[in-house]
Amino acid sequence: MINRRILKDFDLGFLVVIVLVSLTGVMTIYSSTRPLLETHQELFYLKQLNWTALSLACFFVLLIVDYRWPVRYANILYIAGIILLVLVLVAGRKGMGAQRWLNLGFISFQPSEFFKIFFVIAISRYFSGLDRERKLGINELAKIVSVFFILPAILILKQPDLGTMLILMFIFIAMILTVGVEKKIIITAVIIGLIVSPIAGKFLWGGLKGYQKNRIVAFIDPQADPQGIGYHIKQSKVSIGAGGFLGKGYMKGTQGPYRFLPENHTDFIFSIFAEEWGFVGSLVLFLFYLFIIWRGFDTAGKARDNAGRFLALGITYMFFFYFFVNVGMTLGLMPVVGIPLPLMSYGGTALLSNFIALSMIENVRMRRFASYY
Amino acid sequence: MDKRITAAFYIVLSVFCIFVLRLWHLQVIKGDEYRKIDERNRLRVIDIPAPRGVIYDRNDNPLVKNVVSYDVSIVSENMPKDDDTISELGRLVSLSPDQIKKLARASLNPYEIIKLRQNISFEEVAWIEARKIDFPGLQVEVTSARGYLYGQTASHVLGYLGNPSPKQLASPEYSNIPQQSFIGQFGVEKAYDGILRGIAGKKIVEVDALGNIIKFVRIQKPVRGNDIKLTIDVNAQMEAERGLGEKAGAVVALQPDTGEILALASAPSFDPNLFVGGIKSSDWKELVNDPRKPLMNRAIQNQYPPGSIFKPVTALAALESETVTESTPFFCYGSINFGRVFRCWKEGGHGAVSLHKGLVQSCDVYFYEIGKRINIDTIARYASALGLGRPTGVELDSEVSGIVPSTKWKLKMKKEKWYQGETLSVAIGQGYLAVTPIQMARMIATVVNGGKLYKPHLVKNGNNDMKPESVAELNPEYVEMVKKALIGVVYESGGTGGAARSNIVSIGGKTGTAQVIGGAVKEKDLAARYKDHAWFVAFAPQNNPEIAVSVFVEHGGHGGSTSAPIAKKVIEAYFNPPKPESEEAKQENEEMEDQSNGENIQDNQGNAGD
Repeated sequence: MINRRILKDFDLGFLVVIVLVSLTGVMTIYSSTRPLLETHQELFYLKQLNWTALSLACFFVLLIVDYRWPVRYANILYIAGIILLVLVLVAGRKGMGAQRWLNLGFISFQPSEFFKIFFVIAISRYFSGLDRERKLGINELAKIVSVFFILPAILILKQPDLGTMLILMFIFIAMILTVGVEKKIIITAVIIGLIVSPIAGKFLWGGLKGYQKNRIVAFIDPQADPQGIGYHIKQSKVSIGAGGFLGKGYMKGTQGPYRFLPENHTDFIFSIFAEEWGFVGSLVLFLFYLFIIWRGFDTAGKARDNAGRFLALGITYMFFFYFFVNVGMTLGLMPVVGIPLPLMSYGGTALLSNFIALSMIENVRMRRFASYY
Repeated sequence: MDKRITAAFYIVLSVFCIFVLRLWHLQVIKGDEYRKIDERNRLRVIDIPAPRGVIYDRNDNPLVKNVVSYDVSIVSENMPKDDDTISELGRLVSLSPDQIKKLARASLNPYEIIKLRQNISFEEVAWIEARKIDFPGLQVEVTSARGYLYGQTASHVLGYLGNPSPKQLASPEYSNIPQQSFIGQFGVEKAYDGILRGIAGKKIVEVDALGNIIKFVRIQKPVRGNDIKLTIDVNAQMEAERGLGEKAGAVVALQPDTGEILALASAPSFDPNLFVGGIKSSDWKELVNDPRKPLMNRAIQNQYPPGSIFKPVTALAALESETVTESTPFFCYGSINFGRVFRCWKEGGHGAVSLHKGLVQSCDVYFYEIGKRINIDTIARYASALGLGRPTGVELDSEVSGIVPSTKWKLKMKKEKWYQGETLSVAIGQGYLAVTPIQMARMIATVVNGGKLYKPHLVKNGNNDMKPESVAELNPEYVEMVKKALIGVVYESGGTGGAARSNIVSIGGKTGTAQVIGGAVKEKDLAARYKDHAWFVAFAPQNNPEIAVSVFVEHGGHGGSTSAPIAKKVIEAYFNPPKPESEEAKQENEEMEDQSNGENIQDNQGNAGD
């Protein structure tokens, strides 16, 4: 399964940057949850460190298996993923107003975190079977949407987990556009979208939960409810802004440990990082993320087959959209959607799923010349 | 398709560019602004009140000190929201629901500690501690508060503290005081607030979002206020208040040669300790709605007809204007006719009366005769030279000016010309005349010191040689004549002020019984509120007087019987301060008092205005 040639093509830089970003995350979690008084504080950073080690191990173990193997069993994985999503709704554990966790006794995890990967594998397999020279027509599009998108979207929305559903939708649209869609379909879709969106918007608005509406209102007018969700956005901007050009210095941040910024070690970890490391540090961090994404696109371009190409592409999109929505939210450029910053936010399942996903890019990359030996 | 992947990468790149621009905007362009908000988040300024200066009397007895106080406060966040709980809390800490709501509205941040009441009693501490569990965030703290050591004594002089009004907070004088502080709102506490106040300190601490103090950042120590030494002699002051007792009235004693006020009493009075830490609404209502107006300082804030104590002024005006000489005789038949009948208080009349006898026996007819001959403006000029008709300028608020009528005054106020008949009333201290007790004390002081008009004051000045405000040009011979007559009032048989006779020091004085309503009404028919005001002005000793006193008792009846004994006791307390009392000495004192009372009654001749 693995040979010298493959090992030679192992992209060490890619892994180093991933590990660096993850450890930066652990460091930032340590700083933002450091106890200030003689009080008991959960050791979040230690848990995260353990998860990082476990994730790293998975990263390596999964490299042994050729990426074409999961692609071959994509249908089974996909169905298994759907079953997990159903199980969550039936037997999941409730937390913070949503039913997202599945408890296996010794461990509890969020199935939707893994479903995303199965989802990417499944559509990669589907697209790889298509004629690459032909663009997608209306019939194919309708088929893809109904098979791959509608059911999981409903199940995830039911939890409810709007963030993950949006990410799935983004990945889906991005993949379709990359494969290529007939121009007239795109034009018609845009026109219909422009006409229907006010009506659909109204319909959707009615379907949103109270807190989801609040988030959108707060995004448009942060002053409207400064103690609620607007407070969140404001304090995030305060944290980032207070960092200034050079930052306050590691362990000198206050917004997180003083608890002015809630969710500081999970969804708002970037704000804490930016407070301590300033513009310069944030820029370096952005370059790390950009490097990972660039390597993803590069791998897609160099993959030896279509399955590898779509796999790398899908995961890169996923990684990017997480980054985009999360950082956009902390910078106050987008509404608050509760999704974590990949690799940095506290949360074991998400970290593991990110490592597994990125391991697939490495997998595709190191096997790019495999067909020639 | 590779082209589309490249396009996707460029889209990603542009998103990164937008994010970097946004970061630049937040961190570099608006960085300072956000850092300020960040500091506002976690830095709290806790005011440390400055200890106020101590107020001493002239003999270094502390009158007002800072004492331990128990304060009850609640964390803003824990302030109850519903009306039921608010009124329950109100019952616990003795505040009305409205007061609590007002306090709640004033707090800006949810972790602020709101002081509900300060200086609560031990009973209240126990009561609140026992029921604290029902109100999270409620706490009792130990702090420093104002203590008025002599209770009600000199309350109108010392004043009280209160929260600054919005207007005061806006004025530059109070620019650097903390929001929840107490400042002088009455009396010396107000007049000298700038000196007593000191400078509040600040403690800057870092707090987390729950209001826990994480660490101290900086401390700026408060600067203690400066002490003040009053001119008040606490013994004379207490004697004055004891003398007034349950009666409404005022006593002012001052030094003729400096204007230093030795005693300034107004009755009924109040306990300034009620105001410490914010007065309870029930106490405040009681004080404000009391028909006897205990908050009013009768020594300066209200004006009354002077009655016969004005006669020394008339006498001096008459002598100086050569209307009469010492030996000019008038005959008193008990009344004279000048347009209408003007009656003397002594129905049978005084017979032949000289200026001396006129003053000693307070013969009204003698002064009517002067009134017939003298110009009202001459009287007004001398009254004014002796400080009447305008505020004395003592440091206390809301002093009234009194009225010294003149032709000009009447034209201006009544749009009428002056009638000579009105001069007759003014000559015996009635008519339009109105004075304050402090003016009368200064008047008698100025008469006996030969015309030097000093500004009465409550706080000792650094330089001891006070310059008089003005000097009335009085012939020393005439001054001596009047002084002799005033000694005669107390010591000669037939004098109206015999009740002021002292074994310790020679006292001169003048009685006054000022009519509140005109006409001859039988005394026993008068309701209390129409009864005459009883006045007595005095000085002692005869040569080089050291103290001048005015005693005013509202509706007190006869000046000679009601007010003269009070003046005597104040003067004696000044010259002969009580030794720390043993049980025996106390008894002796009481016996002496009994004796002197008996004497008073014997000597009491009474005096009536007209």
